[in-house]
Amino acid sequence: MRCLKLNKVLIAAYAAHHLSQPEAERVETHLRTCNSCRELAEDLQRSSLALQELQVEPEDDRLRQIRARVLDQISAQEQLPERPSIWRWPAGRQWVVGWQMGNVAAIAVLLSVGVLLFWNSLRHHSTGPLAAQMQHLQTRPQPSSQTPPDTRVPERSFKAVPRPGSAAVSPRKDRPGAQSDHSSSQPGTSLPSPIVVAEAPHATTPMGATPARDLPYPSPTMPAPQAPTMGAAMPEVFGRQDQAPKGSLIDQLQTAYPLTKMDATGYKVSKPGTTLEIQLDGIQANPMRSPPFQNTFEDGQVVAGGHSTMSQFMAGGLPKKPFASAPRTLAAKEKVYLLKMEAKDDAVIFTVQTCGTCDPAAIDPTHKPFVASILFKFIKGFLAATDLKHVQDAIGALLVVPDASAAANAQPAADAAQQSAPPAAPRTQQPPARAAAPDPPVKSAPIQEPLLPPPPQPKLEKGLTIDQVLAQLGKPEATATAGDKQIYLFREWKVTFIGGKVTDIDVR
Amino acid sequence: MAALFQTITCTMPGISQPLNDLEFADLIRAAQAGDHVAFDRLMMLYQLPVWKIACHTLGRPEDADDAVQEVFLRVYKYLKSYDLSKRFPPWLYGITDRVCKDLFKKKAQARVYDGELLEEAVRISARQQDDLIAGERRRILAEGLHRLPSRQRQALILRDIEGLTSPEAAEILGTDPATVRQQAAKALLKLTDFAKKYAQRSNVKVQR
Repeated sequence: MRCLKLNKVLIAAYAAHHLSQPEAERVETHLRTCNSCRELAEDLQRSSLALQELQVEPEDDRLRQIRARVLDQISAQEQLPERPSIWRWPAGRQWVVGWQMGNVAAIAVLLSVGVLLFWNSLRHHSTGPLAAQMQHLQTRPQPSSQTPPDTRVPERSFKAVPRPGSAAVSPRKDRPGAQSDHSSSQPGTSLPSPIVVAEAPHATTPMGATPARDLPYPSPTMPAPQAPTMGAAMPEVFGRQDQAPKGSLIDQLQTAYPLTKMDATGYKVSKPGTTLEIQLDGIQANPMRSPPFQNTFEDGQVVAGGHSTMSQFMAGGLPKKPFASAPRTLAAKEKVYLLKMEAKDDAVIFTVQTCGTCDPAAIDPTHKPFVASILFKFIKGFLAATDLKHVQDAIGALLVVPDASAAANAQPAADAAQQSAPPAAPRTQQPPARAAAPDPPVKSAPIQEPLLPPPPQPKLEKGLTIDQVLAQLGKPEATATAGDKQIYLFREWKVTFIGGKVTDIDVR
Repeated sequence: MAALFQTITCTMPGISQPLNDLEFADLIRAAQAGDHVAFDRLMMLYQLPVWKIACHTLGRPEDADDAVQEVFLRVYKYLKSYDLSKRFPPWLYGITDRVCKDLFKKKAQARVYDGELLEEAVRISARQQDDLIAGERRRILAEGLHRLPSRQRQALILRDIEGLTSPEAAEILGTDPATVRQQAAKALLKLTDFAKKYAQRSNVKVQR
């Protein structure tokens, strides 16, 4: 029987002794006269009593152990300083805003290019307000002024290098740190689109494993001075690449650059390893015992900050306390010990410490060690698909082993390289690495290339006449006319004319 | 320092609430910025209620251990997206709830074979209590706990099982005492109803 005079919830509260005195009395009054409610109350009281006996306590120390495990796991995850997903996100947003006039296809193209690249290029070109960006895109700026477009364009063609396929992926599975990337997309799955890189026309072997597709737009950003050498130097690099052993990249790197171990004081070398010479100014370093100052090396430049600092910033705030002691900038030619290295999907991170004279046997008492970490940025998936040589080349642009250690592997490229070798670089192979198109493009060039978003090329401009556009793009696939407005659809472009002049250019 | 925190967690947090709102916000911000010490402290504050809720929901202390670990890993992962203007406990117990659901599904398979184990446990406790009916009722109630809506379950666990007062439970759950009382009472009602039906259905078997 249902009794409607009293809310059952009230009876439950009464049974659990959670009613105030007046409320409880009211319930009791009713219970004296209502059998069904009394039965319910007794039932509830039994339940309430039984529940009290279910009380549990965790084993002693159990929770402390769990906390320790959680902290361990968190630390392990954070060992990898850079979190790509956080890193790239803001770039994507910028792009979307910048291209709001464009259509969804523009965004799709962007994604395929790799959001990361855009971000880099933004920085490369000193990001201005959005308006400036827009202008930049729409007027199709000439490439860097010293670079004559004529020489570049014929010299190089663009290829799309798909992210490494399954064959290429296998090596990365061995790499420590690879598992930390599980959250980011696996190559070839969620991001099927190719990454755009520049290649010398004849350099087909290096990326030979991956099918290439011509992209319609040339890249305007390749630094001009480097272009001449690439033809000569690159074949050598690529020829050698075939012999390079495949395997865990980090293992190979550690063989190539044995780590230096310091003792507990941080001053004395306990196990001698690689000493590196810095080639470029600009690496920021913190005094020893502070966390290493984080630098990013890309486009041939050292940029302070970058990896975790940046991601923390993106995620809503830098660490509250900046390091107490001031960082300093390391100069070119300074020598450093290599203390630590990490390899990720798209980056190699070196942690170095300055060492004055760098004589492991005799500590330089006047030298105050500074520590820095440098992140060498590559396109995602590149590290899994390439071999040590290319990585070394990229690293060599900033950090070289001072002694002629490079002799063995640098010989083949030496001749070609020397023409363009910066005086600072003792290692002959490294100049070609920076300069040559086929190889470096994959690592450093692509990063700067995408900057000038592929779509707006120098050739297409607002204000051009229909004939001028047709001369450049050939016959349109379709045209549409509405009043004095005409829309021409080309394979890659949608061009809008008003009154016979270009007013809008879109990527299809 | 650690010892101090340990003592805090010996009782239910919230009773000896050591932080005011401002301090708590600072703690969260520090943890959001990646401060492991702050995050450890946050875990200490909430580990016990999370463990207890997980334990009653999943039914086994070992599962609760797993759940606590997973909960705090997720908390750390998503802490940056936590909105400081909202109350922390509901957010935390929302995660706890999802983790428990996931674990429950995952362990459902194993649970089937636990039937004997469970009965064994009941027999022992029944012998100790010398009260078969009470033991059976406990078992059924424990069985029914995970079926309750999460807020009601949390209120019931903290208040009726773990013996907190309504204001204490409200503090931990981030709601107010009246709500807790209401939720716990509803939960008790549902649970009793469940136990009744369960007993009716299985009585046949028991008496056979």
